[in-house]
Amino acid sequence: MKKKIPLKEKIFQVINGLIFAALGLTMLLPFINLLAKSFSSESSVLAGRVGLWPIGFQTGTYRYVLTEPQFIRSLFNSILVTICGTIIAMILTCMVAYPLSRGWLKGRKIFILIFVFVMLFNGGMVPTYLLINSLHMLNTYWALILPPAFSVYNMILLKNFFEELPESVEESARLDGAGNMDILFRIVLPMSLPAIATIGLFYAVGFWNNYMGGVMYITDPKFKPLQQYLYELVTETQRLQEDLITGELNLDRDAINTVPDAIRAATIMLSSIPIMLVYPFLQKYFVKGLVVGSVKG
Amino acid sequence: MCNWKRFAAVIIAGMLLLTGCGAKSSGGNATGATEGNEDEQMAASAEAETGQSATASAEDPAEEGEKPTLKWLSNYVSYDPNSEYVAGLLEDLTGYKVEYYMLPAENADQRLSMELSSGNSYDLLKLNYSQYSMLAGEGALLPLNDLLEANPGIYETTNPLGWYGVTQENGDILGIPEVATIQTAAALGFRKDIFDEYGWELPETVDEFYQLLKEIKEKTGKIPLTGNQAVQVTIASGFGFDTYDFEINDGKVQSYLRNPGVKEYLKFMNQLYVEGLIDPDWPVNKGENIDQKMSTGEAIMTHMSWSSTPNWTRALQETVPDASFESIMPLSDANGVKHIDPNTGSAYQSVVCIPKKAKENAPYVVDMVEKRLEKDTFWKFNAGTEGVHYTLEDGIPIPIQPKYAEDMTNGNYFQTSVNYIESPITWLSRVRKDDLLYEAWRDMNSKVSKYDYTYDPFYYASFPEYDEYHAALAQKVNDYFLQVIAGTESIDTYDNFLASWEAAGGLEYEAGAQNWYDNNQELAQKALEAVPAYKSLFVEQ
Repeated sequence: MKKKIPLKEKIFQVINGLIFAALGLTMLLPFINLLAKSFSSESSVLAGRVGLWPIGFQTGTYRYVLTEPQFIRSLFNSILVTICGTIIAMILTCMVAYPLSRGWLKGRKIFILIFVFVMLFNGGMVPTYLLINSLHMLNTYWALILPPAFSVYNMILLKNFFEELPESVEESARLDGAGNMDILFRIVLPMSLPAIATIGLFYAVGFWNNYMGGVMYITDPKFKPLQQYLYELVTETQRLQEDLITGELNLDRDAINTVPDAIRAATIMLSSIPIMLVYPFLQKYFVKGLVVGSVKG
Repeated sequence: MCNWKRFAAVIIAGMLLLTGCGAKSSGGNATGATEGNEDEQMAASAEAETGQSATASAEDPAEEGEKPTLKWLSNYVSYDPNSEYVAGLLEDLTGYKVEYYMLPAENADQRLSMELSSGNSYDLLKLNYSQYSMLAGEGALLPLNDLLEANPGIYETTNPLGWYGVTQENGDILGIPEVATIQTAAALGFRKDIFDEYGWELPETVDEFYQLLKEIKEKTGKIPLTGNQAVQVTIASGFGFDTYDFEINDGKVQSYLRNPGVKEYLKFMNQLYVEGLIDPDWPVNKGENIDQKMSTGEAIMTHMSWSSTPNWTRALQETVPDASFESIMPLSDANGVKHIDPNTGSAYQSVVCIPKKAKENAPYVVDMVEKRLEKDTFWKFNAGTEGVHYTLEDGIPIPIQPKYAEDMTNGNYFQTSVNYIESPITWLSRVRKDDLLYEAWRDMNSKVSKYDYTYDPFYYASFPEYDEYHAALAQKVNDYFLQVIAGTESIDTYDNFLASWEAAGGLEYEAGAQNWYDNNQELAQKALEAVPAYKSLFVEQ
């Protein structure tokens, strides 16, 4: 008993498939191109001959990048900030989301209102900078960790997920003599692994991609995060060009020692690997977690 | 049951550890720097307050006692200066430990303002000239007159013309200027091998140049000339104007835009564009497109700096083994004059200044600057150590590779002004580090040295209208010129453009320049008489 798929549906699926394939390729091809460039000789990259396959194969670029002190340092910074930041962010978020998900909390609505308010309105860039400055957090890892360590949006997602958990489990634990903390850590959290993994990933990617933190709060190159290092490396040539037009830059020196394109490509490849490694481990939770809180809006 | 407690304990321990890290590497040094020398500093400031000039206090702390760690803030570089060989070397040579901090590449100016206005302490700022002007205007910088008197070595070793740009109307000197060495950095480059193959002569006039472009296109089918400049200096010279912003006629300062040659130039460029004699991508080309066209041999000529040639040549030589570049001098105008600009960009490479709030350490900063300018020290961090990083040939340092590249590549970052007697010589080690680089540089500078040409009298100029209008106006001109070249704007709209340029601050800009010129005749004259640093090197040969 095969169900016949109507012709219209078939056409739709084919077109749909083509569109998605094209969309997928537009995202994948630049990445492959970059990978090929990173393994190609500088002169062939400069000449624009590299497509999807390396020309003049070499691995010197990777050796160079991996021995570049500022790259190693920035990579370390970003890994440290991502790990510590995600842990801190998850603790804060769980601690807030759980009580707010329980109906018996007094003043719950007011708390939620306050949180939503700061989600929509905040002090802005300069006051935040002044705050970080007066807390003496400039040029510390804290400046990269604490400002993005709590996201109201993620908290609300988690709160909604918690609300969906059957209350009876919690009640029986309470009868067995468990306190609030025990219930949170031993009952609620283990039951919410998909949501935790998803939101943890949101945070981790957020910390990893945090670029403004470095620009705003770091002047000591020791603490520069990877994204800032990367951004500055990639836009270097363009900036020099603009400075030349306005006459701000003087060609006199060998200041035009720009970083070769192949090395740039290798740096981008290497810096995207760590965060990509995280995906496979969280994949199984991720699909489940994506619909977190979707039943209750 | 106590599982979560254990978990919490681990987290708290982790946080404490992190706090330790942060404090050790940032706050710790800063406070260490000030605390360690509290006595000296108090003595210094007490002396300054009791009417003594800072002179006495400047000499004493520098000569004896422990020196503070100085915090240095500068613009973005892609490496960490703290881990450079030269940083350690300078610490040994001058006795000052310096911590290097840097502004982000993006929004650097805003960040600089924020850093200073929120009271962050840096002892030394190394800024570009427009950043310096901004802070000087805000009154954020410490006058250095007394300290400079106390360290006369700085006056003796730096270019005297540079000081005009950092002296305020009331006589306050707010920075130590680093002035560029006058030399030629860029010219129109052509493929020597192809020119030789077809036996083409180097063009002298606009007509010859036009014929040459046509011939290149016919014979090779390639792009005769690529680029993206609004004012192609080599061609513009043939129409009687140069890259200087202002022209002076009988004491009257006016923008080069009023030169009738500009309109003719734009017409000519548009003609070349329409006839396909220059790159059809001219208005949209980026640096990388030009690099690509030159290193694949797709284009024959372009405006090139000597620093870009080695990459192109190496890429070309993979397929064309005898490929090479040489340069063409700007075309002669109707009067037979070549308009050569040896100074591409600003005279001021950087300005070293001290924020008002860093008064305590100021004597140490100026002392350190003086020490870095001393001949021996200057040689050591610019060229390296003789026998290790370079060997001397006829007094010129020739790099020893790979040691030179390993240690000295980023040495330039550490300049606090330059020793203008030594730097033209030590700098040669930089250009000699690569044979192709040196060849391109030598070719340009030796060709230029055969001509007499006028310098920009405004080379050392600084006036408020420049800071306010220059960059925006330059961008406006750039956009309009490219539109005319590409034919999206007709040349008939030139008068309208000029009117809108005037309205956008052009008139104020001109008036400011006139005012500066009237009041700085002597400096303008000195700028006109400047001699390229390497002229003697080529003329004698």
